[in-house]
Amino acid sequence: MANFEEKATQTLFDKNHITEEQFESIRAYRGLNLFSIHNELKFLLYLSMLLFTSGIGILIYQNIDTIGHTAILGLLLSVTLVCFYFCFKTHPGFKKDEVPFPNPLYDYLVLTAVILSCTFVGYLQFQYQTFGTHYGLATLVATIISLFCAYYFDNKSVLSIGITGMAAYLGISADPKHIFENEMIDNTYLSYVGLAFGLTLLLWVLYTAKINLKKHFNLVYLTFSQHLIGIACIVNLCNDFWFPFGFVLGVAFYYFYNLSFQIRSISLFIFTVLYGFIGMNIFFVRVLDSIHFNDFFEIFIFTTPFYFIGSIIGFIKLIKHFNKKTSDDSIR
Amino acid sequence: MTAYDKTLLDNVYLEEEANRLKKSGFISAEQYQSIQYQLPRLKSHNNIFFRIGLFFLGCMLYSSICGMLSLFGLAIMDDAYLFFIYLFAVIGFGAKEFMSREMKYFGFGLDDSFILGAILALLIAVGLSFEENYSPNYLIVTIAMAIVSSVAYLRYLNLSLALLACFGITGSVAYFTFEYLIIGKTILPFVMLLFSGSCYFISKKKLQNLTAPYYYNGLKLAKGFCLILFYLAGNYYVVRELNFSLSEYYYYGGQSTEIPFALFFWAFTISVPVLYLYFSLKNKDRMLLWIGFLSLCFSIFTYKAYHHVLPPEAALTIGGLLLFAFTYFAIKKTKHNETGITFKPDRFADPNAFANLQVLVAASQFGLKPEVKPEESPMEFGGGGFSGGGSSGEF
Repeated sequence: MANFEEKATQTLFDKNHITEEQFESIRAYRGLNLFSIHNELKFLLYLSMLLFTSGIGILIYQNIDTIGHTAILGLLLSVTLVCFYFCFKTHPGFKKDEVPFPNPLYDYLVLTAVILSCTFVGYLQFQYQTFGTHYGLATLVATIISLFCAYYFDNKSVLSIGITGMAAYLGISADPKHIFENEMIDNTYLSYVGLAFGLTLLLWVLYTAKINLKKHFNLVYLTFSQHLIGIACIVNLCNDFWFPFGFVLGVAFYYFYNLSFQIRSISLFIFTVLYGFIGMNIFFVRVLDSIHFNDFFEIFIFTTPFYFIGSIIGFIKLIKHFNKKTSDDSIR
Repeated sequence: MTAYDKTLLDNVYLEEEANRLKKSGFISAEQYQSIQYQLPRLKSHNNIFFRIGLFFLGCMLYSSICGMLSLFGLAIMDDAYLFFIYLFAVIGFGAKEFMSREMKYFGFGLDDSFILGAILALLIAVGLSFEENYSPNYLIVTIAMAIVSSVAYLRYLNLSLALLACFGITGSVAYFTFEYLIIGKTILPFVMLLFSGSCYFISKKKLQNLTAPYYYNGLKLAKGFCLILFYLAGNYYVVRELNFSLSEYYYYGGQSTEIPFALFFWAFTISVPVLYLYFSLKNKDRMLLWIGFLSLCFSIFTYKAYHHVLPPEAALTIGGLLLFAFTYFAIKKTKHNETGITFKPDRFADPNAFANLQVLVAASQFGLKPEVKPEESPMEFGGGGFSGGGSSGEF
């Protein structure tokens, strides 16, 4: 696009939208003809980490009875410790706000170390029952390691592993794949737990925002919380005992709606609207169903286009409102 | 040729450039906002979430309009249902035309749903019109798709239409070759190679001679499409399995057999990714770099599909280590380059483009799973759920 980009800059300059100084500096920068492979190389780093840890995981899983246990454990532990050693050595230490590593390479090293140590704990538990047969203690240990690393090394990926660990301790699979496969559907108890966990995460976010602890983590927490609450409520709306969940959904998502304006997060906003819309429709259908509306089915069909036009207009209005309120039209 | 107001359309591209400049820090946010207010332009949503949301709402609106008309139609006539499908198509095209001209929508989400729905309705109608003995004539359908979506792209500039046009044209050529030519099945890969190669050079030529930015993205998409098609047309795995699935033995089960010119296809599979990567770095073409990388992965997969070298877990571990070493040295080497290929983040590209994706993949790939699931075996511990699976774009 370079050619047309330069032309567009020229036009902007001709129409007096940018100053000559800016125009010159843009021209000079483009003249350098940079070809940055920053993102690509970082992606390759991530990929290599993914391949390596997956490979190690499968290797251990398959050879769990053949190679000596101590040999595997020793190897795993030493690799993990080496990773941790480098991380601790280069990291400036814990602070309440964002502290990135001097080199992005180490972010991936932390992730590797955490995943390997989770594998280590799991292996230890599987082979020797180190943590006893108490329900979920090993998960808790792995979770604590990842949460500690997430806060110390300031790593969002590790944090998300920690959150899934907490959920796992409660019995829910909170990773994105499982949330959307939705094991909560067949298990009402789990859906209550999911709802409670989601609300707890929300409270934790409020608390951390108050004491200024790692504010940039909030979006991760909120995303987990939002999806847990949304899906748990929608699942329960379809169950026999449904009425109160409509209100829970309404209140929670009204709160999320206001929050998305505050922290200017589009993903939060859009999923709020999405869950809200789906939940509202299910709620209406349930209400109509319970007052035996079936006799007027044809009228219902004829009004659908108007209903959709109404919702489109509403949606556009919401977006406009969002763009205006956040007063940052660059939201794309 | 375009349906839009020229000045408003030009301003869309100007605003995009201004936004790029703001993001890269060359102009201030206030300056960008004043540019935004001064340039009246077409209404469009560049945020993918908004656009998808409006797209779904638009689909619902379109289908509910069609449903309502069908209900009326049920009462009036019972045999002429084909007429109604054509009517739906006309409604879709009309709505898109109206939105583009009067309501100034361009890539707004709603207009996308109407034009795509209209094309779908038209294709169904064409397929039903040319059906003989309940077997539809696919060639006519693909040709109709190619023509309609090309014309629609030239008029409305939506990128999805360009992609549809690419598929339509390729589908027509491929279908014609193996259905209507006697030796079609044998020469299909070579026809596709020739087709994609020539299309690549045509689109490249057009791209160089372009004077206005309107068709730039579409041509670039066509170029990328041709590159991918070119690689796939000559890939050993694709040729062998496709050849097998088109042969009659496919229905009896069994293994795919060796293909003629195997050596040629192997050489092709190995050399093309290397050539892509080389030329991408030489010409500084980011799209080619990604396509080259993906095709390299697919080549490795192809090789592993027919030759057993290492067990997968060892391959993963060693591959990860090798990739890490390679990347490490690449970073070291390009870290201090001031011009040309460099590790320094480009001001025009977001250095954290993959950050959210990485969080998502980490959570879904390595997320801990409950040790004991209710009513399931207690033997599951997730010190890493290595069970494959991708990510769903959530952020």
